[in-house]
Amino acid sequence: MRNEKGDTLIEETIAMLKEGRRVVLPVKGSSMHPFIIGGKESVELVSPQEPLKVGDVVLAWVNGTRYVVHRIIGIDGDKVKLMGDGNSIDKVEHCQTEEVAGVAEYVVAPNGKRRYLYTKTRQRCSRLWWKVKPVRRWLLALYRRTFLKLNIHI
Amino acid sequence: MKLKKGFVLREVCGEKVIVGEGLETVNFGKLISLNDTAALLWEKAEELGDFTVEQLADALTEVYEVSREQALKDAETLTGRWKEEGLITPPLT
Repeated sequence: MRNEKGDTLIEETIAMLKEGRRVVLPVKGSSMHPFIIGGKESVELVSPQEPLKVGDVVLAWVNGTRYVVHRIIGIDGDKVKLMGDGNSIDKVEHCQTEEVAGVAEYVVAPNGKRRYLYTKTRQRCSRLWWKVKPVRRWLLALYRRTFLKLNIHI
Repeated sequence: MKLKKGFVLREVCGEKVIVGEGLETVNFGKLISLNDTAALLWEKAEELGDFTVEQLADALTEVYEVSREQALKDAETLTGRWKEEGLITPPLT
């Protein structure tokens, strides 16, 4: 999901996160396949409470240009590196820790069903997904032709 | 009938929406948005506390040039929708 600054929905989301509320935000795009199906599913965000971790899916202002809901792939002091699970090539994005506005805890399906993003199985899957990065492109193509049509996610 | 406690009218992205103020989670995928007429009736219902469809229809005829019959119909449709959304406590009858 990408959004320019001035997107009022994102601004409202950030304001509400600062108030300590949870916010369910619909996400767009395919950049978080196969973990989040943009255009159909939403993420339930909370304001970052604990120190950020590699593997966290976050709402962040990246590269000084846009908001994304992507996964943290590296942290070095205040510097955070992110990448969408559904991005096949090395599209690494950068931001500072204070530019992370929210942490996604759950994915919310259209029927309201929530699934926690960090169950042991899902964390294992996301680590494995990172390891298969060189062949993600083909796996994603296969996923989008088959499982996605059946609304199957991880 | 009464509006359920904890729901408030709030402006989000330039639109009037009902947000569960007492609820911790705000779902931007499922906000209940109100047009100007609905927002007016929501405010009226809030002011009245315990209200009837007839009272809301009165408020409509005061502000808009509509027949009493049309106002009643509109107020009934709207309160019906609010009931479906779970925003209203029915009268104790």
